[in-house]
Amino acid sequence: MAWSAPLDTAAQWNVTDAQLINASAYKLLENDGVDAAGTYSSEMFTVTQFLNSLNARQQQFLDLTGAIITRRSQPTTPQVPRYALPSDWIATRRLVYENIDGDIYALFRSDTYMLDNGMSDWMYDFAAPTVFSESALPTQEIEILKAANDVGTVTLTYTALAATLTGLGIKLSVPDDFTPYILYGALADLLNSDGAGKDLRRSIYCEQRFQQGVELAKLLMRGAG
Amino acid sequence: MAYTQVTLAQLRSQLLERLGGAGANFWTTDELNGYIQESLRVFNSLTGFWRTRLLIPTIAGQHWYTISGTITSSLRVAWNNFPLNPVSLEDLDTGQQFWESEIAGDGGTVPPTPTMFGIGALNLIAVWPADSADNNSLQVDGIAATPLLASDSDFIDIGTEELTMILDYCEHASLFKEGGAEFAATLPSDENPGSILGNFLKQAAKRNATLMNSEMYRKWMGGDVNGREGNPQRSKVERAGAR
Repeated sequence: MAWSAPLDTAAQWNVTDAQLINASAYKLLENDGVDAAGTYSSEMFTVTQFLNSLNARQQQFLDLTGAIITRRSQPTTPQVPRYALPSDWIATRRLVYENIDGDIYALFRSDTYMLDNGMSDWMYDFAAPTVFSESALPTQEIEILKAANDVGTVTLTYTALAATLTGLGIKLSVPDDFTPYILYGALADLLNSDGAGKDLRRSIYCEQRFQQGVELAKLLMRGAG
Repeated sequence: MAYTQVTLAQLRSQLLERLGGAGANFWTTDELNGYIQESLRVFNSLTGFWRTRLLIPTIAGQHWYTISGTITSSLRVAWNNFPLNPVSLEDLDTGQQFWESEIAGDGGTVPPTPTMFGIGALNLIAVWPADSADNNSLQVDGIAATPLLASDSDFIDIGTEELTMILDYCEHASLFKEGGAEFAATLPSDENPGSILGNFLKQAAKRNATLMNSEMYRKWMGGDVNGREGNPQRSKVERAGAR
């Protein structure tokens, strides 16, 4: 069985990686006194280094906040509890199960310790699933428990891998208004890297600015699943 | 407060005055435009200053709806002009177990029209129960994406107080590349309670009380909470005087 295509239309935003490269060049004095044009003028930092940090910070932001989510579904097989997660999966936010009667309900997060002590027959008995677990499993797998005797459908809500930023005008996967915070996160990494450009004071400041964006996104989404 | 139209060129001119006037050639025009856009985005993300309404036609039986990029964050939702009550997905999951399979008019505890909405994330909202017919209207009021000032004549409508805040942030962002004492002087701390970044955050919190509920934001505004708890009577920097 395979996961469906994303169930919801993807939202689109406008800020690109190329714009953030130029913004970083100004902030790091890498524009050599003229308009930034996608390159760094000194050897203190490289554009590749910035893009690597930008990719990491964008992913970190999405992972920490759950600000942008993706939903996919797949049919379940009777008496089979384990399923591979989508290849772009980063973090599970929610899992719902639709039984053969068409009833859809959320499965609650659990782990093997809770299952061993609270549902000791979970490894060999079958019934309507009530929980899911990601513990003590091979990488990139999820388990619904107990496994159902009938066919059903699971719908996974998760944080997905963001589009890889290459510097060629790829749009970021976060709303435009949060892109300054992602930029500061990448700058925090650059200013904290060993070498002539190391500047711990400004790195700490940039890290704070990134954390402000994370906190703000969480505040805006209080109550989100 | 009266709103005025301010163009990008006017904003840049006022920012330049703060940075030393027309002779300030440490920044390029493109660079200053970038700081102005950054300032507007940070201001809007903190205060929700620009709002907009998104109209989404309902689809019978559909619970989840995508919020397009024109809205950064959803604030309220109405169905055919009837406001929906906000609810957390956890409350729905625990209080109305089969909500994702319930359609308006199903009977029992299910109301005849949508009555609640939950925020799935910035890009997704859910309604309960799902509409039973197509093409009714979901009206989503939310924080709009910040206006993009691309050319010198592009403008924003804004009050004097907000304009000062925005210029404060622009100045702070412009000084980042200088580093050192010039930049440090713009940062909030117990010793520098009147810093321009601290004032910017405090002004933002006046417009968005949610920020004041965040201990992290209160700290970033300039209150050294941990330091005061450890030794509330003393400043970190020794000063002359009775204490």
